[in-house]
Amino acid sequence: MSTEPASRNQQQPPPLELGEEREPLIAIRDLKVHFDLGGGTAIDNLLGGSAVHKVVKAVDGVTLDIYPGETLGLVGESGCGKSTLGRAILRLTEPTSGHVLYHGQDLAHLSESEMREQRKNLQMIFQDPYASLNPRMTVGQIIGEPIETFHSNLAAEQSPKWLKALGVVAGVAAGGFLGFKYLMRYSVPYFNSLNASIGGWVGWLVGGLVFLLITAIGLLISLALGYLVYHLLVRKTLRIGMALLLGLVGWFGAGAINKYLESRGKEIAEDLTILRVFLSSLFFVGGWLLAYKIKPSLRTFGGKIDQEVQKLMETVGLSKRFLRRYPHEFSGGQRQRIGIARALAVDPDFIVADEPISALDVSIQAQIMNLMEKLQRAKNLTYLFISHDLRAIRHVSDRVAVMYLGKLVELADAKIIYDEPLMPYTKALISAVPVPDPAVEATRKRIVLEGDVPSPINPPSGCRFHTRCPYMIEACKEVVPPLAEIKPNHFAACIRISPEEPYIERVAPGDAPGLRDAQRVIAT
Amino acid sequence: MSRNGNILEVRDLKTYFYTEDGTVKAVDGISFDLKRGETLGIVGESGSGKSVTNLSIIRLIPDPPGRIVSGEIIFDGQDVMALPTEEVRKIRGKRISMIFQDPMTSLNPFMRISKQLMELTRLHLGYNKSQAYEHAIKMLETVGIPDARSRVDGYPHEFSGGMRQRVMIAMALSCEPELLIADEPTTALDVTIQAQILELIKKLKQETGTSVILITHDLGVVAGMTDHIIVMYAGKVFEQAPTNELFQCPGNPYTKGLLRSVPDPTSEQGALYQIPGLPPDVAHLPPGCPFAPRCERAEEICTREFPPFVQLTSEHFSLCHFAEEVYAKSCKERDERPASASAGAVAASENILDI
Repeated sequence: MSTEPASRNQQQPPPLELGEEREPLIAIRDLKVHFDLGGGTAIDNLLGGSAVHKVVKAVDGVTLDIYPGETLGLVGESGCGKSTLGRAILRLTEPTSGHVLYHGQDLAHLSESEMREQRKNLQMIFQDPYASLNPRMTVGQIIGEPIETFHSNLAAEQSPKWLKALGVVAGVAAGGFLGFKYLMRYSVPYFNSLNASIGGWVGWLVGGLVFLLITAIGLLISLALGYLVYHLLVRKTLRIGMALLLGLVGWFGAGAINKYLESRGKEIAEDLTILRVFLSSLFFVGGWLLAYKIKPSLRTFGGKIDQEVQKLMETVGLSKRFLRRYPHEFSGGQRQRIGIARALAVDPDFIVADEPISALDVSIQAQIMNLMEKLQRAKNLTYLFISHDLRAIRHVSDRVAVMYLGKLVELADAKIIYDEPLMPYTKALISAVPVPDPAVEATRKRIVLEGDVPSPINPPSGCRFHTRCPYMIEACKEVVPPLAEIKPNHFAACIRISPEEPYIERVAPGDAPGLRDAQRVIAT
Repeated sequence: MSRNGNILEVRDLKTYFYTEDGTVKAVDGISFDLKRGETLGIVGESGSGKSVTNLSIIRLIPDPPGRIVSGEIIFDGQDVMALPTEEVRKIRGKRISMIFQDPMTSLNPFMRISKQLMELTRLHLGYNKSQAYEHAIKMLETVGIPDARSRVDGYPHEFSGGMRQRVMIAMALSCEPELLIADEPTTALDVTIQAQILELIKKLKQETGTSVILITHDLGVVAGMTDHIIVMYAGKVFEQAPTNELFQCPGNPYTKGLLRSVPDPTSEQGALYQIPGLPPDVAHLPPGCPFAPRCERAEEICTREFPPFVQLTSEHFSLCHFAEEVYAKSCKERDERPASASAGAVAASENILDI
């Protein structure tokens, strides 16, 4: 793991160019996530709201490639937008603009249902293992749920289009036949009698309206039947199918009962429809509840999902015995393992891990990091590892991207970015990491930044870091620095450095060698 | 005033919690000294008893369910355990003060910062309103809050996390305490803010000569801040040593494991060492050494007999059956470590100095 990235880095194309020899798995292009806080309208002024229109630019134009099999570390301070970026890739937060390309599809512009299909390839591990697991579900259910969803989706996907179409057609046809039959039986005589009793054009009109009404009901019934057949054949959704099926049993059962009573010479149900509606709705509800009841036992009966879940639990180092336990019975580290197992359940190829170890004890952090690395090798996973813990990022990542106030400010190989950060913010960030060695701590000097991260509501103009940067010059307040390739595969956003003058300490005071490039980029 | 220059002496402190689940021996017989002007680091994972130790020192253990079962806490020659509650109150906040982990929840959201700061000095130092107000502003300036005079009347939600932690520090230092207990003071903060706060505590310590107890789970933080370190596990002191000694020659398998499981940002590593298993349930400790089930050095004796607290050097103690052996081994490893590694670290630090 440790030597790989360097060698891999050699043949790595510049990440900002598309169509090179190495295809990125995820290609993020100018992604923006803005949160509109409102304000600035006449009503706001009237009601004492904000006088200015406020927009939080959480992610503001990020372009980034993530290559298959790598771990890309994303670091930054709280509020810099790193989590929002991770969520926006998976559309857990809707991006405002930009593109996220994955296997030729733009995730940012897929429909809800298309995105749902993609979610089995793209998964997330959340920070807080206490909040992200449903406390009322057992571990088996938590890990099993995505498998179940995935399986029913799989069935839908695998059944060919013609079968789906056939299902719908058969359903509508059957429904239409039944509907027509009853239509003829009831509506035509009714129409005739109405017509006869009222007479004249009024009779025709009223009779016609009633006829139309009954036709509509018949149509609805046929559509419902079509839906039922479609579900039973194609989606295999048990609940709705069961309910509709039993509802039908109720409907025809009522007729059968009536016939039976009639044959015994008793005319009991004068208005058959009322009995029918009553019985069928009773059976409908009964079917629905029954499906609820048997669904979990179906799972254990087949045992397939449980077997899958147990396999996954073993993969992430949880004992199979815990299958029926609830999240509160686990420690933080174990819960994080459950979260990982859940993400792995659908066999994804890309996982966004949002601060997966921040809530854990030191000894447990190491366990989770090692587990994630092991799984990456075994399943050829690609990670976007989001963390504010620079030591963890350094350890797990192949490449590291540094974010500040919604923008990427530096991107390079993990080792290189730690040994030789170019951008002043990265320098400060890395120097602030405490080293677990008193000798090193005694000799080294931290760059202590002044102040806090500015608010993303009104981010500073020009380079967003200029308010805290020790190397700030006047031009920094105006020019937005582009993420430029300063050294091979080492990108940094700072106008005071350039490929010719990569080290900011050696740049003459007031000089901005990167400015020419910056202006060129801004002009485009 | 105090014997042998110790501001604080803790002897055989036992704090138990009586719960439905059984007796939780959160702190079980720990002893340590803190010299005036020194900084002591207490390191441990969650549930190791490090916070309970410090709550015990200022007698803030919720009773029930908790109780300090036995032990002596001698602060500046006085046994805190023997004092009546009123007297303890006079010490708390004035002579011993605390900074808590979460600055979001330890400030009252309904009170202006000024009022929260003034409360202390008016109570403990008998300041009148205007004196206390001026003092509050002075303290905010000391901890580096820009434009303190206009911000002092703000509410906590108007301050960022780092600023709130500064307010907490200002509050803790406003009566010039002799002992400052900082319980995970930077855990909730970003690294750049963490660096600011640590530098601030260091600076204030030099200026006022306050003794500090720094509780943390981050070995990186204690490495640069402390003179002595106590490593706690399952309510026991597992190792106690001067900082340099502890990092270079750990005499306890747990400390060693902990040190190895932290990724070192200055060096290249392969797979990270991991301590197997989970921290124990303190209510149901196994017989023998509580770390034995996770220990790579464990032998049969470890699961049977409680380990002795072995003295390795004059100031270095370790709770382990094999303390001497582990100590000798890690000292040997230190001597064998290639000089280039530490030279590389120094070179890296020089780079940082250049900036």
